[in-house]
Amino acid sequence: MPSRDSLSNIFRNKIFFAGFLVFLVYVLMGTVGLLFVPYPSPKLANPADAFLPPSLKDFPLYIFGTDYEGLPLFDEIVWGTPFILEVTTIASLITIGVGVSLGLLAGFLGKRVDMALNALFEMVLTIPGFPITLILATIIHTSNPLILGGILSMFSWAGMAKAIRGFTYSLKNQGYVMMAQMLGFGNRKILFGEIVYPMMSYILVHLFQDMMFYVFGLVGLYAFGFLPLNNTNWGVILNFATSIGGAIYSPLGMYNLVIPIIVIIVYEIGLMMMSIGVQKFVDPRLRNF
Amino acid sequence: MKPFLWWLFKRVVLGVVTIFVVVSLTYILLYIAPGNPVQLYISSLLAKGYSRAYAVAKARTVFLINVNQSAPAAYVSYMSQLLHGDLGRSIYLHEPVATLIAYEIPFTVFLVTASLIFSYVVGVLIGLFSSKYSGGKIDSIITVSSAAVNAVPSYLLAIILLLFLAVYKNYFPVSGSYSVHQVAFNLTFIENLLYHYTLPILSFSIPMIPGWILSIRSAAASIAKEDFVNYAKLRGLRGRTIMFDYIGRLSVIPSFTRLMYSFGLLLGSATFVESIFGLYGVGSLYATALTGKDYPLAIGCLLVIVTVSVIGNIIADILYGVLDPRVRLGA
Repeated sequence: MPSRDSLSNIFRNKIFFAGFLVFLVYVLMGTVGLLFVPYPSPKLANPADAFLPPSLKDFPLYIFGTDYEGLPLFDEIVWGTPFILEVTTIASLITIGVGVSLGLLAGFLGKRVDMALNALFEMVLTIPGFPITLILATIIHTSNPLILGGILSMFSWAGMAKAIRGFTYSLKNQGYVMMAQMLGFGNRKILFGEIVYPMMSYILVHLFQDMMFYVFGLVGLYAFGFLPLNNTNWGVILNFATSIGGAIYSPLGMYNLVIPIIVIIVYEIGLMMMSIGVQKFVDPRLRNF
Repeated sequence: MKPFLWWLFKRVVLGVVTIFVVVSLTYILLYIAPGNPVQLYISSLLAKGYSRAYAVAKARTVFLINVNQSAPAAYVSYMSQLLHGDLGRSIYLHEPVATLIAYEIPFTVFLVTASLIFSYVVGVLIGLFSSKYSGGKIDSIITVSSAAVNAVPSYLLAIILLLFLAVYKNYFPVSGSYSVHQVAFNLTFIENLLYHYTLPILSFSIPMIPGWILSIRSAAASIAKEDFVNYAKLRGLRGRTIMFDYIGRLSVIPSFTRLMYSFGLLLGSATFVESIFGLYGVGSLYATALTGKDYPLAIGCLLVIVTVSVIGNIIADILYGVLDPRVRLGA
């Protein structure tokens, strides 16, 4: 039924659309932006220009001011974007992929498979993931986006899997799914057409929220020095500003900390709005709010 | 009662398995590969001119690992020492890990408990308030602003609060858990403690408030439609009585168990906030241990954090059954 409730009309939701625009700005910054903004090489740094406030000099290079060694902050933030986007997207895709497939498997097959998988979900859910992520990051100590994505998503797929399992159980016994079975549809068609499709909105909401929480985690891991500081990203900017630049204890360092923090929070709010937008779009009870 | 005991037994077994798996995995990741921290430690002692026998014995008290044993035997004796409460010694602080953690854990428990209670009370009040004006302007203002607050991670909020309220304006201390000489349960110490913990508690609890608001609001909205609430209105009871005694009391039940679950989870995530404010606590101890590669101390902290959160989860499940008899036999 391609009505106004179909997910392809999601862009008509104002909250989602606004969040999507924010997200789009960051994606453009992390891709096309790199072509226009020079790489933050030490050549650009000038200690005499350290901690400059935002200005219109060499627009747009100095709109965010400079960091502790005189590098333009705008430059560093733009070049720090792709890594953050890459790792958080990988981590969210792993979470969704593992969560959805194991959840479907448990719910669809049922019986022994379900018992074993459900016990696994329960166990992973009781593990406090955050401290283990910290120790894994310290031991493995890499900036490889795939491995980092794996570490970040290691414990968070279980909640997703459990929810999908529950959904599958209830959908499996719905009349229309039985009808499809009687009509002789293949298992794959039933699984993706009749069972996964109704869950799409839930999966999308989860996807945006995961991307949000992984930005918290990833930036934190870099900002507090649990990962090697060998590339440019938002966490490394904060780390250098506090550890080498001493930005916390000098009033001059305010922009060096506040601007990256605002950049991170605006990105988070964008993702949050996308997730709320999908929720409101799907759930008519929330539509009035 | 019997099904309950069986359920409890299953939960405890699952918890023990969880702790065992976590500790074993860290052990394998850290100590099995060649060039591991134990061997590095021994060779650093050898380089300083100590005898090999001394280095091996020293490594044994620090890491609880006897390198002369075969790998399985070393693992078994490591585990049995952990079970006996010996967590090894810190490499850099030269103290038994158990002593260090025992000193620091009360500070983390205080921070987490205070933040949870604060955020929960504020969340319940705002949630009930917004459910009263459900669908109106006030409600949507609260929804939008709580979504925005939810998007701010606690450690970034901590940096902002530290900058503007402690460094630029000296309303609060910049770092440390307390600044009096004597640690004692008297008014001066508690006052001093609260003074130092205001910003950490705020930065820890503010991002949690939206979650409580949402859960209270949706619970309150559905309870407000129940017949007994309408009846209470018809009886002419005061609005405040209906709000708190009728709706409020029932709508806190679903979120109350989440409060218990959060305790264990937060214990592990206090790391960043504690490090920013230079507080005592397992979180900051864990961070120092990890960044300084002090692995015996790090594993000790991890073990304590995981154990406490597993116990917290079990208590939360039991309480859930006590509060809501419908789930008592489930699971």
